[in-house]
Amino acid sequence: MLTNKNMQERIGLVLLLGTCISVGIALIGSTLYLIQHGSEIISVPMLQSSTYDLSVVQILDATKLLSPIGIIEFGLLALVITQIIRVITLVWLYLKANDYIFTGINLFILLILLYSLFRV
Amino acid sequence: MTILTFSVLLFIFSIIAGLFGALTGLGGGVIIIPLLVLLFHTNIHYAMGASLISIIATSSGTAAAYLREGYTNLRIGMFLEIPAVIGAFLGALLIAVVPIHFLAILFSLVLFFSAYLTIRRKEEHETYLSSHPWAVALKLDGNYPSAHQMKSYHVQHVPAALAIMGVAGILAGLLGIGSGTLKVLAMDQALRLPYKVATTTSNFMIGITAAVSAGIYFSHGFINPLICFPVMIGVVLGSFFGAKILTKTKNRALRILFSIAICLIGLQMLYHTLTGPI
Repeated sequence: MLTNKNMQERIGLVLLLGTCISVGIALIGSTLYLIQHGSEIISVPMLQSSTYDLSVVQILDATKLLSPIGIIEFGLLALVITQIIRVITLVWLYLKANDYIFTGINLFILLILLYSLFRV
Repeated sequence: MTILTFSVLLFIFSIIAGLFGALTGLGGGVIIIPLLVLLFHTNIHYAMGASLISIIATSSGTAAAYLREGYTNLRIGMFLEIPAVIGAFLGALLIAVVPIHFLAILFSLVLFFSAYLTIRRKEEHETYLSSHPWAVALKLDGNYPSAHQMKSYHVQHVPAALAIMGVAGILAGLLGIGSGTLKVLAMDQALRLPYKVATTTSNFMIGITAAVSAGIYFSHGFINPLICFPVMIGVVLGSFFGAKILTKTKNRALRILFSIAICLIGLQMLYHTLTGPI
């Protein structure tokens, strides 16, 4: 039987790792961006109305091309995906503990998370 | 201003916002949004998107430390996430149809309400001997480390907490904030949890609620990478330092001082909205 403390430590580890990786990716992207565009003058549309890659597929395409903005977006996306992994870990841990009510609760939250991110 | 200067300035101000947010217990989001709108003249939607991203990072980055201390109640957190994520989903969908002025006014009201709750807060309540029937069925009761041994607590008024969480979720999705103050209110005043259990469990929940809204914000194009990046790193660093300072200071006086500052920011935001385009 998995203890509560044990469970908390595992979830904590998932979160810490995920956050560090996401921030690391975004850091690489922004360093590249600032090297290439840092000396340009900031324009009003950048702060008011420019649009960026809107879906997960578009973000992944931009990342594959190694565009600095795409890499930053991928880092931000990874932060959201870390939350999905956290809930998947909870589903798995509750399932292992034979706690079906909480497996169900976490599955429901997982579905909403996935739907909000991947819906077309 | 060059992009480099802009990023560095935004980064420095975000550290201050994170520090301030951690010290007041309000979180970085409610401070970074007016900062971006009033000082950096960004679109309020971008400000909300950047706030959401920084909230996810802060919640996840600090959760590990809190989880190790053993205050966080995972069962309560995930159970209350049900109305919170539904609310966050609906709130984030509504954002596309709600006028920007309404968002700014609602945001100011949330600031005033948060400041009021922060000043009013009592640290301890009486001990209960029995629990709400739903809490028994779902095994929500728990214990937490105190001076000498583990102390147990009994969970009260579960339906009221579920309702408050739903509202907290809608506000979180609609305004791009963590709604930490309302989440803590639900657990502190309705469930009657020990204060530290309420705050750490709220912190654990915030990342998941914010991630639901962030998914929808991405599809609206409200996540502006150029603004999000300096804000995310700055707020995380600031919150981290804030949490360190917090353990060393008596914070009652600080809280009142900050609450007054929050009200002033709220007034400024209202003025800005009512007198001109945002």
